[in-house]
Amino acid sequence: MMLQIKNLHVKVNGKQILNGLNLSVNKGEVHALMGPNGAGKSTLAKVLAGHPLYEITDGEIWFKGQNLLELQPEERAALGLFMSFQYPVEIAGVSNQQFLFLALNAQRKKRGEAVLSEAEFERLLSEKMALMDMRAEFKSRAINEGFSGGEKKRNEILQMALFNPDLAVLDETDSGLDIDAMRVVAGGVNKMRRGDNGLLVITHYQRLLEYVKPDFVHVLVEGKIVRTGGSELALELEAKGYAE
Amino acid sequence: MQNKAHERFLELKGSGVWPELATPGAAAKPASGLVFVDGFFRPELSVVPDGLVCMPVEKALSSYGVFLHNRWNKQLPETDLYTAANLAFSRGAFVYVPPSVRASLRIVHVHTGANLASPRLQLTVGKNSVLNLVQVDNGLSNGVIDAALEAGSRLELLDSSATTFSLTATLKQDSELKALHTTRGGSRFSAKVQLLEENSSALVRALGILDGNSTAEVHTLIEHIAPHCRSRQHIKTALHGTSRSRFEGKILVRPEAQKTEAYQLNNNLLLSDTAIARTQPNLEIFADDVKASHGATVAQLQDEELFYLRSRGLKSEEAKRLLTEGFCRELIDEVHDDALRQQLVEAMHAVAR
Repeated sequence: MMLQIKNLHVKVNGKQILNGLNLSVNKGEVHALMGPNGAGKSTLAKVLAGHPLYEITDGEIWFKGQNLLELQPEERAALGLFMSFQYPVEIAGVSNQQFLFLALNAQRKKRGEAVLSEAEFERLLSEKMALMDMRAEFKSRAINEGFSGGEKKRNEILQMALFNPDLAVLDETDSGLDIDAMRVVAGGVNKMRRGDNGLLVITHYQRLLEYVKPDFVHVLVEGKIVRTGGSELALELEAKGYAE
Repeated sequence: MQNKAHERFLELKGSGVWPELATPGAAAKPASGLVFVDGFFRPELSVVPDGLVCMPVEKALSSYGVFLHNRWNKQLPETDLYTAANLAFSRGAFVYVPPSVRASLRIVHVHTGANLASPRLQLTVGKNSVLNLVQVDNGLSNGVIDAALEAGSRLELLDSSATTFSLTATLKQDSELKALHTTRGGSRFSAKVQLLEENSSALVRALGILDGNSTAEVHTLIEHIAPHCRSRQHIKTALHGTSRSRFEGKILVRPEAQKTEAYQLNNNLLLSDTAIARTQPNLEIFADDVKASHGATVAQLQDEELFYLRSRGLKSEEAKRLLTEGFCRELIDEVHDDALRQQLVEAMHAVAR
């Protein structure tokens, strides 16, 4: 089992958000997590990535045999966990290329892999950018600064393609995308699938799931998974809504 | 006194403080540069590029006396304590760049003791001339550069003064001033710029990287007197330890200065809980058709930014370093002096912890 979440309880700013969440993801599986606003979907994504603001009051998370909650965010990344942000942060003065070069090499170093030279990295980056239909200027631009909503999400999936994680958590990657941008993003997601990596797609709508077909769909309500089904569940939710 | 200065001068030759001297085969004098010893201009140690007129201010009084007295009389009543003290105690240099000349000049300050020096450069950049000026002063000084920019001229000044440095400048039609002051603490930088004639423009920037208990002050007064002029100020300071910074800046737009564009921005990055940044931006506008703005920020590294970088694999300290670099980068990239830029990069890495 790649990811196992047991009885997870999480508080943020004193407010209980997750109330005993259980979820397991095996190699090669695509899971979709759906639910109404405020159900705790993004909280789960942040907790998995290691955001320091979230307080784990009970439960466990195991990833590739390691206790995830004991690891720093950067250690989780090096271990093969990637989270695509719902709202990617803009950072002035640091070029996208410099950032990705440092980040990828930091991960490789931590894993004991050979560090890429700038030339090797640039080749890899160009290849992945072509995949995401991104213009070369995005290399030299500051991280996400002045990017449109769609460009930011593309930049997230570009990072996923570059880091080649074992488990990718996509937090509302489809929100704010028009249909063309969504196709590119979904195409990028599908191209990075290796058969042995897992995907947790957090989404509000089933739109993205038409392109990235889930093996399981979970419904999260008030911090707990209340229902699990196959991909047909997403269609049912789309038609009937989350209300029982 | 004379011998001591010479000894110190020769000592510096191999020390790298003065890059022109460190190159093999360099003469006892720099490739080109004005030398001040303890604040006094030393023409016999200086090398002036071809085409420039340079002499001690005392000497210039005989041929340029009317011009100089005019300038001092005009400025003195309004000037501050620092520039007045400098004028009283200085034995400065007078430099005149004749029309349509391009030149680069380095100002080298040598200190033989711990006494306060009062170096002064009285500068006129002639019509359509361009002067690149670099000044590094690591000693205790109350220095002044007073620059008159004639029509169509351009002055680029890069200054790294460790103590007090005041720049005063007057700009005639189509002239352009670009000044950048850098500091690692202990300094007081003041810039008073008067845009006297149409279509002149001034860019005043300062970058401070402070650590320990160091302090830095920046004072600006940009006075728009003629219409259709532009000015921009960008003051950035990164602070660690218990360091303190102070910025007090004013844009003054006179009633005649219509179509002025004037901007002022002060950004401070606090890297410790004990550093303090004070900022006092001011706008005084007496014309009605003006584009002007001022802004000031005092911020710490943002948790969300740090988390974003860490979630991509960077350690906490690497993330801090990248964000601090991101803050300083735009001004460090403007430091076109390798030795000085290297010092600032090292200071930047040291505060990013």
